[in-house]
Amino acid sequence: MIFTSVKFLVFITAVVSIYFIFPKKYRWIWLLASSYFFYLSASVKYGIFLVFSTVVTYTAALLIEKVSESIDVSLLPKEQKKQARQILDKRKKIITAIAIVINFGVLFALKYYNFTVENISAIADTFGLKFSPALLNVLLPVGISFYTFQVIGYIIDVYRGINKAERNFFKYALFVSYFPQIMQGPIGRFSELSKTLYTGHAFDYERFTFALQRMLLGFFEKLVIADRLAIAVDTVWPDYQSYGKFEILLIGVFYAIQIYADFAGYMDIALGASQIMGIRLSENFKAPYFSASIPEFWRRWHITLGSWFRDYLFYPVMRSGWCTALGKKLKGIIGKKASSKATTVIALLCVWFFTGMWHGANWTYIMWGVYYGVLIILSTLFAPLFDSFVQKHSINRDNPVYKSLQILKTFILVCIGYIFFRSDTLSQAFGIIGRILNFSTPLTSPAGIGIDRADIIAAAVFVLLLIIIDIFRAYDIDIREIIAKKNIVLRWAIYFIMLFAVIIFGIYGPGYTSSSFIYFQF
Amino acid sequence: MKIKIQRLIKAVAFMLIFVILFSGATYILRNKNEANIVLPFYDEPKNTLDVLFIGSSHLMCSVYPMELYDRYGIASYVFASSAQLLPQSYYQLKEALRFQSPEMVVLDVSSVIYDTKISTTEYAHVQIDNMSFSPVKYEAILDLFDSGSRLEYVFNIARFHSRWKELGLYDFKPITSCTKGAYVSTDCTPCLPNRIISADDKYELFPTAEKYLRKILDLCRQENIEVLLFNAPSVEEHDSLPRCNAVNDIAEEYGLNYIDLNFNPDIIGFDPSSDYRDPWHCNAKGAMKVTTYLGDFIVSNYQIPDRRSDQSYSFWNEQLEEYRNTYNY
Repeated sequence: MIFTSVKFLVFITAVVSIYFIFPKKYRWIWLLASSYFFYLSASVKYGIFLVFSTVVTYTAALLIEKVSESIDVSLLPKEQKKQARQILDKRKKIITAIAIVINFGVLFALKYYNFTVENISAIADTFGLKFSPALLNVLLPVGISFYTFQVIGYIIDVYRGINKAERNFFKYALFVSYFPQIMQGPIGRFSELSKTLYTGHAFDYERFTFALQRMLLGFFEKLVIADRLAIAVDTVWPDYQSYGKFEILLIGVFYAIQIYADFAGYMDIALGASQIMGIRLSENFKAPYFSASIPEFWRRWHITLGSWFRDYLFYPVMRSGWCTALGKKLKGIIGKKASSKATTVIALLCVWFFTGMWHGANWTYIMWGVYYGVLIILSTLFAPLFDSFVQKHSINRDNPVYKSLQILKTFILVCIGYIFFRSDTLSQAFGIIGRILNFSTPLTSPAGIGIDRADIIAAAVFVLLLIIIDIFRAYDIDIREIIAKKNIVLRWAIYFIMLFAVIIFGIYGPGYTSSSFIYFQF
Repeated sequence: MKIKIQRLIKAVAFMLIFVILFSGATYILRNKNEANIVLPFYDEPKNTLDVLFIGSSHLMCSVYPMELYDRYGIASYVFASSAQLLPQSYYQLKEALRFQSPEMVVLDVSSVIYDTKISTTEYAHVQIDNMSFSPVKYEAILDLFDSGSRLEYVFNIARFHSRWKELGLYDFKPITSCTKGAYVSTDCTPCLPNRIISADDKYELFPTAEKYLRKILDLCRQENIEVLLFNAPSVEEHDSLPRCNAVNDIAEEYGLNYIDLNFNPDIIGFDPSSDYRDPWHCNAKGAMKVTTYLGDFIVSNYQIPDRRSDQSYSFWNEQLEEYRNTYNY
């Protein structure tokens, strides 16, 4: 059930209407039923993996807590306390590790198994060895990358004592399956989501109107902007050899806007749908293309994934025994400062390799992840050098021209990354880069880009509108509150313009093939 | 409480404005194929049409109601749509009967050569989109289309919203016409005459076509409406001659007249080398021959009043004058 389908509109209307009729205490049960209906409507088979993950992590969390409670450390004599803590920690660690291995195992088997054996087979082939294991022929369950990360985050938080294990299985099942976020995130934290997920919320008129406005913005971003640009991107990208430099560069920018409008559009629909019922989901974007640096970009883009990797991979790697040992070893050879940087670089490479990998079993994603890893490592390593350069030449960092150039630089770097992200193969990605850099490539080409002049003008106008909206978002100003203060004529005029912009200029209906959200495939 | 009522009023007002704007946008954006032929039907004063022509573009191009009025005083309308098959004609007739109570229906049976409910999505839109907003329209949508495509007929903006690029003045202007559903054309495509077949040379009717033909005839019987089955001249396709010939059996069963001008085109002096607009449709020259023949047949076989001296039909004379000023053939 795609968010932009009529089915979803009927579904969300029914869910919301019945939610407010249900007794407050039991509203979460209705949400659980709705969430499973939503998820199973894609495929009943997928449900097996979802239930499996839910059962495993629910049980593991309870076991971790049971272990914690098995010995009251505070009652022990001082000399036994440390030892007891170590024993408990070891047991909890084992349970956590088993839960993680099982969940990642399922994800690996379904998403990365074929990719791995194909690559091993290719390597073996180069050495003249024959290695051709059977490939799995299964469809990847929708949202598995998202909910697997969510449940692993939950288990680690229980292990760390950040939150208690949820004792009610069905409540926990709702946390895993909550329909606005299961397909594409945001990757929720139990400590946050549980605050609003289980409480029955009363109907709030203002919240309701704000939520609808947010959903409308999401539809606008997805149907009017993303899907319009997608036509051009899907035309030019696979056939880039027929196009000139100008078209390829233009399509690169189009793709950057498309993927943002697509993903942020989904988030606005998801967060809006959830907000109607008073349930707050984590924000996933904050005007990412206004970032002045790549690290800042990643603090504003797919925020919940970035923070997941930071909390559950980067810091654990940095604090891990082997990394600390390596740091100590290097300290003696290259000095304290350099060894600390070296371990950071290793942790960063780890994070970015897996960030790329998370997006899909393809070298293009890994390359894309590593590309960001290298950029971030370079920016970390050269930051002091750059700072002294700025200071020496008395460059004012608050200067709007300087800031704009930084934003432009970041945007260009992000667009370069997308060449790998959007391409089907590495050779296609390098082919595109080669075509841009090759002097013999013509500047333009007579081939059409799939959308006509009217669509390009419409896209330009709507993207301009999105930029204005993002300026407000960048400064944490809720544009809905500003509109809400205007008189009713102006307010309603804005609502109707947005509504009819979607109805008239949206890419939908029998004339078009309905397109799924890009992040569904992850 | 006061706030709640205020909010309720606001919500209702918002929905009302939305419905108005949505209807307006739907009308402006939709493809207006044949709208000038069909929509003026709804401007006809209620229960003033004595004869209704129901069918496809074959009728639209071969019968000129204004000539029927001028020569015989017959108040008629060609309520037809391109490539309209008999299942569609059934609903077209039901829709017409919401506004008119004719003495007689002339039913185009040329589409008995098809066994489907609609010909193409595009042509189905032409018919359904030109229908007024009514229960008949929804009944037609439910019956004619599968569940996956019904919504685009209920909300045709889903199909036509991308027409924002092609909008012209025509899309905003009210649609008027004085042809009473006829499509007048003086173009000419010389064609060869059809083969000659014997009266016994007939195929069985397709089940879908027969089912809806019977439904139409039953509906007319129920409403006490005389029916004349009719097939206008057209170049043979898909074995249309023996297929249409089979309609004779139904006509006999129901005790109806059936005029198939493809079976015997010489009775009207039809000349395929000069009377076709294209192989499927008559031009004005051919239409005049068909219209005259039909007018004579109707007047001599049915009790249809002559409205030319009827004061309440004086507006027809004004429309006839406009028609004569507009069309010259």
